Amino acid sequence: MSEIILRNVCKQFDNAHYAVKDFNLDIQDREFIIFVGPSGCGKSTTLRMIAGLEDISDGELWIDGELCNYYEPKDRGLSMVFQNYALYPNMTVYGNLAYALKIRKVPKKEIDEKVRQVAKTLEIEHLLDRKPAALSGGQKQRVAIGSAIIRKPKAFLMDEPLSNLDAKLRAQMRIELAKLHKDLATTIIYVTHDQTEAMTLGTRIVVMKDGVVQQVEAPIQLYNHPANLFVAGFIGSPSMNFFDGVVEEESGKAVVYFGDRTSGRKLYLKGDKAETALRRELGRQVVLGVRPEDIYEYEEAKAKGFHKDTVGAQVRISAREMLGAEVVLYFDEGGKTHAVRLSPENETRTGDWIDLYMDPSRIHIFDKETEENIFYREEI
Amino acid sequence: MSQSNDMALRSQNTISREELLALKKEMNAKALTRRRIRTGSRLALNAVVAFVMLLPLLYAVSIAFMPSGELFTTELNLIPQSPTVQNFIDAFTNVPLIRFILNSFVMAGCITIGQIITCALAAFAFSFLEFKGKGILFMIVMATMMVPGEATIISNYLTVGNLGMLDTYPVLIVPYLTSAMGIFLFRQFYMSFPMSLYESAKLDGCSNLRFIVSILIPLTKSAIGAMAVYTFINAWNMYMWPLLVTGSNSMRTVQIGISMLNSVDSQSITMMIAGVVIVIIPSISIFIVGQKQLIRGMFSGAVKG
Amino acid sequence: MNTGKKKKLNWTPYCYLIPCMLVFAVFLFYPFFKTIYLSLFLTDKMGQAKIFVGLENYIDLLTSESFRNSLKVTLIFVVIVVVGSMLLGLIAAVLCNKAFPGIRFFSTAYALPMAIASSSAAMIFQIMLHPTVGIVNKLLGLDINWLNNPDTALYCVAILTAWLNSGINFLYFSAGLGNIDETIYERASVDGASGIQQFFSLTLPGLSPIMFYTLVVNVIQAFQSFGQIKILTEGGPDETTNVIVYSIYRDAFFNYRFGSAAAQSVILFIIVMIITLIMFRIEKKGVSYS
Repeated sequence: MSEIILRNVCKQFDNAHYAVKDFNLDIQDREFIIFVGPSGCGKSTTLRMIAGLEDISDGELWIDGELCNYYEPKDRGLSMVFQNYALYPNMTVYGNLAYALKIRKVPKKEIDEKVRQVAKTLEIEHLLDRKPAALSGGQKQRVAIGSAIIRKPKAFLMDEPLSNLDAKLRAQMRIELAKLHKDLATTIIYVTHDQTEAMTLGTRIVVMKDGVVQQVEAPIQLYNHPANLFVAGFIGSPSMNFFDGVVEEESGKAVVYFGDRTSGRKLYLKGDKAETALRRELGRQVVLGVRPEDIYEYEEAKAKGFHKDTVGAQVRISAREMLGAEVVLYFDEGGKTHAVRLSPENETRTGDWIDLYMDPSRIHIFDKETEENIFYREEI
Repeated sequence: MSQSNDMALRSQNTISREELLALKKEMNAKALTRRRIRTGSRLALNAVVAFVMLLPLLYAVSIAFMPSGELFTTELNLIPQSPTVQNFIDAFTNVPLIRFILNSFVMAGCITIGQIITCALAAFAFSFLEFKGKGILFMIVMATMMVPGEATIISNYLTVGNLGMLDTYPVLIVPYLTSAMGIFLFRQFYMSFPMSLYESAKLDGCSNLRFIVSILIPLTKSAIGAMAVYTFINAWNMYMWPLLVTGSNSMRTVQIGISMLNSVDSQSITMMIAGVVIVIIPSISIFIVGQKQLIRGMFSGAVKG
Repeated sequence: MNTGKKKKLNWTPYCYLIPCMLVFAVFLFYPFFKTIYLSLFLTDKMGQAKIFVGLENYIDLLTSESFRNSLKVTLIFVVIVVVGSMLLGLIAAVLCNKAFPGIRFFSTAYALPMAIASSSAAMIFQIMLHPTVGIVNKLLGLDINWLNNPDTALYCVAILTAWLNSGINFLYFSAGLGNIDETIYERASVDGASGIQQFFSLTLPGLSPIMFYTLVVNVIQAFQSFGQIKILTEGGPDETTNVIVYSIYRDAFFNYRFGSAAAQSVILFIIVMIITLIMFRIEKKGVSYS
């Protein structure tokens, strides 16, 4: 049982600037929490504050009901995996795995048993006598994880552990990490800038920007209901398409115009979405967001039954990426490039004109000023 | 630590808001004090060690300004009561100190420039050119580092004696016009450049010498700086060779010259130390000015190499 | 091979080597072999080889009480100097490892001895150790003639040399410490290691490659110490500071026994060589590389 609670945790490096501001989070036992965000957003700093490697400037850190702000790193009962693995270069793999236990004066026989067991789990038994310099990146990674799991910590902290690996190895390690989390049944707090890792591994994701938490949500919720423009743009690849627009009322219906009313391009909202949009944004400037997979050609739109609610936009395709299972088309508009994800049978070429229809039920509307998703609070 | 124990008792459910705030305030104050004590003790420890390390120098400076009479008391007199520059004046008038300083500058300067030139040329050949016996020649150069000066100094003395070169500038300078360490250091730097740098210069019609002067030298300023500081200081401080090969005041270097102040006459102690201080100033100044260069060019490489 | 006989030996590369090779040849290779040659002869006062005596110079030396004393003195001297200077350098480097106010001043202070000549330093120490006016006796309230006392003279000269050599060791160790990955200390503190445990299990092993290099350089350098002995003790009192280098100097330039002096040079060279080789041997087994 381990429960980690952060209350209004702040980090100030110098008196002027907050690296992390009012971080609040309740982490339940056995969660796989991901801190994600662009570099410099404060995610690593937060992790290091939990580990005790950085002082907490303000706020409280509770681990299992104990105030841990002032505990030394070793007294917090956590273990950590570092981005560059931080293996002890002068010790063999065996020595690296055993170090934390040796320090704690665990009997030699018990250490030996545990080292061999961990090495077996991670399939590094044949490397035990090697020095870190003689290991490949993936092997170092396993040793680093091994030396973290060898003692039973309350939680694992991982700081971008996969970012130094090549793409193929990273995908493989991702799967192993997920399996490890299940087997160990322990809390993991994991920092990454890679949204694929965040989406695939996390039970909950914390999106951060400029030291401030933007949204905390399970991956699929985060994807479908981003709280604001930043989260919407950060999660998903290719990222969400954004268009400027304005919300109007037209004979009792909620209409969103692209650009301004003169453009003629518009779509009709229905149900709760229409009601919310009219109540909150009537006549206001908004940003429309739509994911690449929520844009269709006429035939599909017709099949899905929303072709009458949206006016098709005729666009010229500027690039085409065939990915096998899907095809991604790109078009430029308003100085931005937008993406559309269609079935691989689609034969549109670069330079062709195409009519596109957006699914009004999958549309996101952000207030231009506050950048908040106006449906967010209503839907959750 | 004790604080872990008394805080372990305060669980989240039992602690009140006020207690929490008070606790945080207390702990923050404690952390601040602890940090201050840590920095303070580090500083104090450094101050003590640095003082011990610098003691000989500080002592020398103090004595140099001390009137001769003041030295001969039984009490502990670290700082001159009535400072005087008379010792320095005496030092300059008793021995031709200016001439010694000039000699040392000529010797150390020529050795420094000469070493940089010969080492840069050799290192260029070893890193950019292909020729027969390159590996063996480089090994031979490196092997010279193993031969201590004492194994050669007698024969060298006899050689220059037979050539009638004793007591001249060339005899002070020529034997030190190259160094295996310098060649090694420059080669390490040159090897970090891609071969294509040399090849593209060649294609542009650049001669070898021009390549060295206009491309290699500007690119290896830090190595040259480090080498210059190190060589100059070592040459300035050289003792055994100048002692053997110089005999007249007009050729003596400072290190030999000031030992002439070292007479049994204890009245001249303060003057002698004043002379030592004068002689130390140039090498220390060059060291302080070039320290950064020296560390960057020499020691960061020494660890990896 | 396909260029066949058209390919001539290209002389240009060798031109760049001429300056340095010339100096090496005249002042290093030739005198090195000449020293070996001289060591097999009796010489006249001008240093000319006169009578071939084979290994007699060596046999005389190895059976002479005085030379055996020189060997013993030299070894004690080298051990004190190497241990002392490396310890001083290491302490200073560890003290100056983390950033704190004044670090630039302190690191300059610790490195400074490398800029000071052995002769200048010796003259300062001479006054510090002076029996009546010296600060050492005044501070300790003693009345010892440090440099004229056979029990203390060698230690005084060795401590001075250790101080002189500590400056460059400080720079080597500082560079070595800077090369240790900072995050392994973070991991160790999470793993539960105390500061002292970290020093012995991470810092010292992390320094071992540079430690070895520094050790070799220090040993070679310590064997060559000359100026401070010439100025402070001239080998005395009772030959207690008569290290081999000083003995060479005395034999050659006071007694004009160049043959014997040359033989001592060769023996010194062989000793340094053997010690260096032994150190490399041990290093291959023991030292860990990152």
